Amino acid sequence: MRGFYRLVNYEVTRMIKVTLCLCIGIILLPIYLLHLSLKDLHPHSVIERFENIYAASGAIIVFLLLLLLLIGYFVVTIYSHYWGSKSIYTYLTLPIKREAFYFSYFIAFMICLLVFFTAKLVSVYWGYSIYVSRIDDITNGEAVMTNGLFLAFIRSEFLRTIFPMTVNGIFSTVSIFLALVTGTLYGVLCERSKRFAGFFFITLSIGIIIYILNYRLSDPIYVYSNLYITGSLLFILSGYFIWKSVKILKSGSIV
Amino acid sequence: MQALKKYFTIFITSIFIFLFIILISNVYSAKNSGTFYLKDIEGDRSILEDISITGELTDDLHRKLFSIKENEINTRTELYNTPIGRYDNYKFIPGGPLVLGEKEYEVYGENDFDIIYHNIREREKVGLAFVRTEFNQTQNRFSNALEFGLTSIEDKIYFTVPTTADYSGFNGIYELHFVEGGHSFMPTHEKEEASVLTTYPLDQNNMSVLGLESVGEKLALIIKIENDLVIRGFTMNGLELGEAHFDDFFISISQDDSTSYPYDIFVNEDDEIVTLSFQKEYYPIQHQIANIDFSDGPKAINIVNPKIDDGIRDFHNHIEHMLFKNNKLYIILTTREHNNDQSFHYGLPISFFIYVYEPTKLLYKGEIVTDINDDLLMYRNVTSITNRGQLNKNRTLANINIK
Repeated sequence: MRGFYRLVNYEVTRMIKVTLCLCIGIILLPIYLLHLSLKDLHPHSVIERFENIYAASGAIIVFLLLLLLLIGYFVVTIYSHYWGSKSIYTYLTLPIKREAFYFSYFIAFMICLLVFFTAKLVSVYWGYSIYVSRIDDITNGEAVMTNGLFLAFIRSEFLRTIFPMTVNGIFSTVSIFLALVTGTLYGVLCERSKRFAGFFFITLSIGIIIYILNYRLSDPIYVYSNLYITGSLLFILSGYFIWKSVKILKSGSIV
Repeated sequence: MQALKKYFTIFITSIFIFLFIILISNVYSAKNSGTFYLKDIEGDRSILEDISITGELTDDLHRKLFSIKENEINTRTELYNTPIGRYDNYKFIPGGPLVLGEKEYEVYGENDFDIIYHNIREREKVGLAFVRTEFNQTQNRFSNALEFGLTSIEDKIYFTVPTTADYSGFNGIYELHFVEGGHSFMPTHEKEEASVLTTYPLDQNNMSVLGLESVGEKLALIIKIENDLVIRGFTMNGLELGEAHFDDFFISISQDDSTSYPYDIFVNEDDEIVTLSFQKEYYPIQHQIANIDFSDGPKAINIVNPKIDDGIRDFHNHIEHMLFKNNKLYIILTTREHNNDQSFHYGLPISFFIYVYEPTKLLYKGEIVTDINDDLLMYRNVTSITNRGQLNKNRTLANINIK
């Protein structure tokens, strides 16, 4: 167990710098964009709700881009074991089980995602306080919604997708991130071991994720999609990715 | 330093988990905040001890359930797992469809009538019923939107035609039989004709049929004869149960040739007391409300004339509920502020009021104060619906020039 923790600690220490840089981006960029959207408001402007201004400011695209960068960085950290010092050989000769190698990555990724999401949450809080003080300023405090941050979290499709507060929403969001992390790891292992058939299931999970996001980020009125069914599919696929990944590692075919 | 390096993961994970949980639970627990209280305007609120009021303040994503019982107000907020559609809080607007149970109904026709339903959750499930009438008419006008003639008792649907005084011959109360999957264009011989429960002559002096309603297992036919309001009771088999009569009820309600008589109706199922409200004036709002006891055939109880000077009533703002109990009439209604200067109607503030009347006397008036007008802040400085800083996605002709 101690050996395993050391492995996790090693990976987290290695990845945290870039993750924190991306966190600074995810905090500051939306704030800057929000500032741009708010600066031209005057007392006679039509005042949109926070979530609408936030969405229109471009903060959502920035979030998706930085999330992609973070996942891209995960991939790079795995490959970096093959470059330069070729530490992958050292790794595979360490006196620990091979699946520990997999789970150390898995946990390190999850921790980095947690850090990234907390930063996003801080950014939304900060953004809301900027919005409130700006609107307070130009309307003399007349046009600020009571309990507006809570309403923004449940009314904004984007915020309720990444920070859900309902049981099925949480289930769905967790399944998406689990599938993202396990799928990324599995993809790298497939490529290293030249088992390209595995990409079929990765594509399938990407398809399901796009389907869920498409449903949750739009305003569904007459369409109903059961988040438990699509979420369960992703959980099953994630389980499959983990099982296959461990199998590939055990067979030692990734060198 | 060595220790920090060693425990770095534990350290950073616990900090961020802690921060994440604090921030998320802070937002989540805010669901119970927000304004909600009862403000006394006139009279003493102890009068509300006889009754309990429950309801919800809702949008498509969440609702705040509230109850006012024995002078105590309780609220609870729920988030919807799936955003709800407009039918879950549907209010009938004359001209729109009428929702009965799981289906919405629309009526079309002049002499013969097609009644169409859509299942409100599975829109592709439709059905059609057909009514053939026996009256003569000179003008294709009705005294109310045709859907006022529809009502249901359990899963049976009944219909009568809201005819005006221009009609002669016989109107009837019909029990409808729906052909599943039916549509207006299907050949007449495939439609299933409604069975006639009873017929009644239209040749009485100046008789308009305003609508058909159900009271428990009885039917109530609402008629205007000259200026009198008449409510006739029928059993489900079409046997007449007598009538309640209100003399000169309509005399103060503005009327001309084009007038229709929309009404709001609420049934107190326990005592079988029907409260029927017609609007006299739009600003200040005045209602003419009739209470009818249906427990032993319809009997007129009284008329109440509440004056509501808090604003105007528009299509989205109704009497939410009325109850006649212990000789008191309880009314809950929504009004919109009256302001001639403000050109954009939807930006005007909304209020909820509770009124309690003893037939001629106002006993209590209170306001349920909420945050609902915060939702209208985005209409500040809006002068028309197209001036919301959004793209207009409908084509129009523009910049036409002739030289």
